[in-house]
Amino acid sequence: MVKIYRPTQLAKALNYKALWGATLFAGGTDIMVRGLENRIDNHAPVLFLDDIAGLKKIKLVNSKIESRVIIGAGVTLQELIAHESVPFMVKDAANRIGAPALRNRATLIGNVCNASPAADMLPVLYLLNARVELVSEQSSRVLPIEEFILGPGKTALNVDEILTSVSLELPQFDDYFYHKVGTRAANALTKVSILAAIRVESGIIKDWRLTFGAVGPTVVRSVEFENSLIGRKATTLKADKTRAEILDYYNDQISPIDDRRSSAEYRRCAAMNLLGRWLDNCRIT
Amino acid sequence: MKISFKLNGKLVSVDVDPLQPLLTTLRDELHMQAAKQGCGEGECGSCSVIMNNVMVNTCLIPTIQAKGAALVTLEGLRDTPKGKCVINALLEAKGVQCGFCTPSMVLALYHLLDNRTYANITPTEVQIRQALAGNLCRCTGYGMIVEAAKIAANNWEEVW
Repeated sequence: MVKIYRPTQLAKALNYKALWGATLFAGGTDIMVRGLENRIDNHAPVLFLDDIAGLKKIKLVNSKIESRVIIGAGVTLQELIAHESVPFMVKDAANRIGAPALRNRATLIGNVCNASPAADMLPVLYLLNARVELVSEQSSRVLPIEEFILGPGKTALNVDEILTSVSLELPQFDDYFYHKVGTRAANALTKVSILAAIRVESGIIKDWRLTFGAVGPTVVRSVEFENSLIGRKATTLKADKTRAEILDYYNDQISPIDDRRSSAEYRRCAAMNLLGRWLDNCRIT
Repeated sequence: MKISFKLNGKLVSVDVDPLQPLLTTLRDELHMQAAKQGCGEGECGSCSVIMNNVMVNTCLIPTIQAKGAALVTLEGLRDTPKGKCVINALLEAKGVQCGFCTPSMVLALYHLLDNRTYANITPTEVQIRQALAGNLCRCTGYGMIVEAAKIAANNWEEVW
């Protein structure tokens, strides 16, 4: 029989992780579907995180530079949706995952650590410049989300570490757009998704961010290109030249593949049409 | 491993593999067979029960995670006034055919109606459909089940 451990304190979990390198289990909605026997090391003990009260917190932290919201590893999608400090776009993404009974168990951090190319919570975390906190018995470190996610199913988590929390920026946007393409509204895995946001002041683009999900090994976001748009007149977004420049740029950035959920051709076409829809409809006044 | 939890208001203890799905423990150890395995992947909702006042899919929960929790299955609900109200509404609206999904439909509707702020609020069509989003029915269709939710909600003076 596989050994299990379900501590109530993080220190005990970290000690156990350092000793045994166990499989981490929070909500379990991915692990149970894949089957516990199909883990990479199916004799490894299972370390449950769902009974650690310290990981269930959501809190606001205000520093001189910025405000961030910190979300613990035990927080379920439903708890995220119900909390007053969580940005609406995070709730919107969480609300379109699975169905109520699944959201009552699945955790935000589980979706992050699973590192699926189609993970529904990752685009919004990239957009809000998320940082993850990785803690081991000896030390702790903080990584930006794009340095934590290395590829499909691959993360920078070391064998003795636990991802204890993720922190998010709380920026102001004037308009935002999130569209998830799935077979149906509930319980559907994503074929392609787009998340975009804009802030305009006195006719000038002050903030512009855009991510695509499920059209590459990881979430597609280009801060460099975004910065090249910031500072331009907002009306240029509606001009054919800029519009073509943006569409061409992202068309080169995405690299969709064929799989059982959709085809590369469909994904590319849908992604570009959605981007076009955002450019047509985004509010610039 | 010995694991104890509250099932329909009574304390129960089982001696099972802690990683065994709660659904298997409920059906095989405790003989509570209203919850059923459909997809085994958390999509169909046939195995769902109420745990600590929220709906959960028991096929995805290792038994150890139910330790100390309070569970409600159809067996605990069907003879209560609220349970009867939901079941009768489903029968009245003809929202039952093969019955495979019905136990979890009853629980989902009960959970929606019992968590209203005021008992005289009728949930909207959207709210009802969202509450049922995780419960698949392959024969009746959802129109009659949504209708049942409204019928049960309107009986608020009697039971809720």
